Amino acid sequence: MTEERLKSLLAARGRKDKEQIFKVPEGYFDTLTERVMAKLAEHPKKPARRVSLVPRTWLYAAAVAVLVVVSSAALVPYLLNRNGQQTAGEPLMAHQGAEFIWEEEDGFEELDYAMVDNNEIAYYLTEY
Amino acid sequence: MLDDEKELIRQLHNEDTRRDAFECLVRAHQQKLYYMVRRIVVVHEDTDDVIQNTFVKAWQAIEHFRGESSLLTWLYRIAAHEALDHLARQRRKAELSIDRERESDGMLLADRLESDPYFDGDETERQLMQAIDELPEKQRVVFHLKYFEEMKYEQMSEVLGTSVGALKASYHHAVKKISAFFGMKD
Repeated sequence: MTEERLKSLLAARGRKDKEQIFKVPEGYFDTLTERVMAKLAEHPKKPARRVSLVPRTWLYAAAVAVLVVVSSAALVPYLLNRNGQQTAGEPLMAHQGAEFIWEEEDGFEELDYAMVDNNEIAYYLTEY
Repeated sequence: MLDDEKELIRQLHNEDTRRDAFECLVRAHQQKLYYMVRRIVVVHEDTDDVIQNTFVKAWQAIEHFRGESSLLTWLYRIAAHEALDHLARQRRKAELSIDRERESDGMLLADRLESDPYFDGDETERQLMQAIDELPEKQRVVFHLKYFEEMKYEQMSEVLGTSVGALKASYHHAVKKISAFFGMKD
């Protein structure tokens, strides 16, 4: 096994194996606890964070959905209003059309009165 | 879990006794954590920074410790992540300053250790440190925890948050690379 061979190679070369090969400055561990405890004062504990059970991506999706609903709510009445103006315009056009038709009818009446006399009609009917 | 540890956890969760209990925790585990981190980051000054940050992070999170692992495993976990963060920062710094500081950063670790007053190893140990230094960061940590700390894969899995299978594969690759460094073949 490679690991065993590596161990025996290192042992054969006089390695101290698991012995400590790293030194520390004298008295290092005597003062480490005090230095750590002093450092804690510089870093007060953070208040516990509220962790949401809802995944963040869901929150983003919900935000987008709310945005869509809100914009729709604002947009729909506007569009409806625009449509309303269009439908209000239609009767106006129809009315204008009606006036036009009425004018046409007036024209026909004028034409009728101007060009065909009732006597002429009676004559026409009796002769033919 | 030992009764002493249960009592310590109880004191750590109590605001009135927390600070004294934490001091006991630091005193009890500082040496073990120091050497674990030292093997990974090598330089004493860097190890000192990582260890202090480890305990600060532990202090800030101690309220949320649920006792699902031992306190030492939990501290190992914080220390291992701090050490990995340190290596990543060091790598980024080296990448950024490769032109300006080529002379010092380009030196092999084995050469730097030769002049390090806090390194007490011989030539073979320097070479071993060099071989380990050339491993990818996570493989390096896995090798240290298994080879030097003799940590079981299950505990290592808790420390590093990696599956046992992936850790075994990682250790296998690390041993092969180190063996190759020493000119050994399968």
